Amino acid sequence: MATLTIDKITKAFGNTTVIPELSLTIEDGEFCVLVGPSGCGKSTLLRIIAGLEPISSGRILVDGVDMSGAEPPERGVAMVFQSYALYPHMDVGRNIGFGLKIARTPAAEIVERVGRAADKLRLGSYLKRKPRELSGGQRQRVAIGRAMTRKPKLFLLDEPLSNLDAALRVGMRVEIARLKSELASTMVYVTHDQVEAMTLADRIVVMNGGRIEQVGTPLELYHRPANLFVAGFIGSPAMNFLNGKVVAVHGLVATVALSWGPTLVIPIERHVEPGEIVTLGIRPEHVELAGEGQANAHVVQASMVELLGSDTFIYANEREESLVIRDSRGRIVRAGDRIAISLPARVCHLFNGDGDRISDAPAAYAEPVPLKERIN
Amino acid sequence: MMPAARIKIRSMVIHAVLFIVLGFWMIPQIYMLSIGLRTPAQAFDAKLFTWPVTFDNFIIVIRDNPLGAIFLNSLIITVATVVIVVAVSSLFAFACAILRLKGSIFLYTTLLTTLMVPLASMVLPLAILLQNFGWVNTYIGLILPYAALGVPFAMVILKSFMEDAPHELFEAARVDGCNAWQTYWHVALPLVRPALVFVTIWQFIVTWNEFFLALIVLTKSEMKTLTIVPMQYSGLYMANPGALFAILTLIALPLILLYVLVQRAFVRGLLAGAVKG
Repeated sequence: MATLTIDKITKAFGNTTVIPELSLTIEDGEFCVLVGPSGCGKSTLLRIIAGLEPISSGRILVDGVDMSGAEPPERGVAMVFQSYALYPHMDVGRNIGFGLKIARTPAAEIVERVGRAADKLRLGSYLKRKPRELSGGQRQRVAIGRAMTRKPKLFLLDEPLSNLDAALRVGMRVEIARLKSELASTMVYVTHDQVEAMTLADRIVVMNGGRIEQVGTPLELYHRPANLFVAGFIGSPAMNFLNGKVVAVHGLVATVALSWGPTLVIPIERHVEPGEIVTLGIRPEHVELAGEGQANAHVVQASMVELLGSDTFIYANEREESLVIRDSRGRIVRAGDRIAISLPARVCHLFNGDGDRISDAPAAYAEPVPLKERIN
Repeated sequence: MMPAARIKIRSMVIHAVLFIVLGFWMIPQIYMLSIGLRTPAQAFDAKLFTWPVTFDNFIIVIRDNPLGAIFLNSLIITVATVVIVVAVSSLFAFACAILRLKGSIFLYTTLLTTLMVPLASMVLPLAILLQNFGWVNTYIGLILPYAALGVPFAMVILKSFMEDAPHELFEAARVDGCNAWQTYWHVALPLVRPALVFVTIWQFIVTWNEFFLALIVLTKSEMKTLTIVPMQYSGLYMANPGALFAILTLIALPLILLYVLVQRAFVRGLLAGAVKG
């Protein structure tokens, strides 16, 4: 385990700066997920941490020691590559034990550690097989095993599940979650899949254009996105954004008139002027289907309906605006129906013209209380 | 028609075509062996096969020449050249394709230009150079020029194979703690094994069959290589085609044997499973 400190690093390829100044500290034993769209610099950042990519300026510190120019083994890193990167001419056992062999570990210890890793990853019966004789999931487990046996200070994973099919991905996600608790290592995990990020991370770093947009726990990011980018990136389906204008401000409460009619009263934590153009965000699962004649109900037209069994996604339009509604109560809605909805102010997010959050934390958000305390 | 039957017929047709092509391809070799097995009277007969066959020509060339010593000369020069060419070209290819050392591409393109210079134009300066070094009639006098001439072609082949290998494997080796030499030895060389086999066979054939430079550099009979031997059976006023083709057959045999031994190393799909395809 180790604390990783990224201190004001920058990275440029020629004249193109891919990472402007960036700082981040990943605590000892933390599982940190770097998430963001393709090309946001998350894989480059991971390669910089690994020592595979030199930095243009700044420092990388492992346990307070400057490792900016150090080779990967000196940093104590192990890495699982997106493409597995298994040595095709070596069998599973040799692949897993290769790093130990290079480190001149005694043969008996290599056998013991490879055996232990193989057992943990259920690869015991495949040790003599070549990578080409394995399935995608098994290859990925070998890649994880290779990283595990070296007992790294920093365990780096670069989109390890992106090449697997959906069913296998769920299985491997559970495996990684199990490994996370067993290894108790500092882990940095890169993904563009927010489900992986939300389910695995202790802390998520949302990146965009080489910059960090927000760092926080999964629930912080979900309930309290710092800006429009994070709000739109975290959550599936994405948060609905509706255009509006501030019509009045009374202390820490703003009255917002949406462009398609409704007016909402939203608690705010940052100053906003009446007349300012704002964006109101509400997650599909927070939009409520209202009963006929219910107060504060607004009528919209359903343009498409997706029935998934557990959930129904309703794509609705009103004037120029469109929004997605997620209903988990099995109500029957058909395309073309006019439906009444309500937008509860307590779960709405408000962003100013620069895209920064101005609303207070939604009432739905509360830091999770450990189960033990809840029972007590 | 059942798919299995269709596949069987397709396979038979392909094999038949390949056998016919192989037959045409083999005519010069068969003709060489056939003339080596003829009496002097049959030597200029235009038929592919004649009867009876005789081993007299083989007996003549074995009796006339110290073939064991000549064979050893050829073998020492060829094996040493192949080892140098494979070692130097693979290291150079690794430096260019994987390490991307500064200046390596300039050196690479400079070396490539040597492929365009014909051997005949180099023979005279090379002979003078070897004379000055005192390397005439020595193994080294042939091994070094052969290696220098062989490295550029081998390097082109190995560099392109290394460039095609998945780069993540070399990065994985770095993360696993390999230095440049360990990455070359444990990862790069096994990955380009089919190309190494090809380069080995190619360089073996080229060196084993080389005649021009050997004729210039080796003047003493005890230093002769196999390719110089056939000359004595083909002169301006005298020719013994039977003996000539018998010695040519003997020269070709080690090459055929080499190919049979290493052909299994031409394994396709060696990289299968290394990275997600």
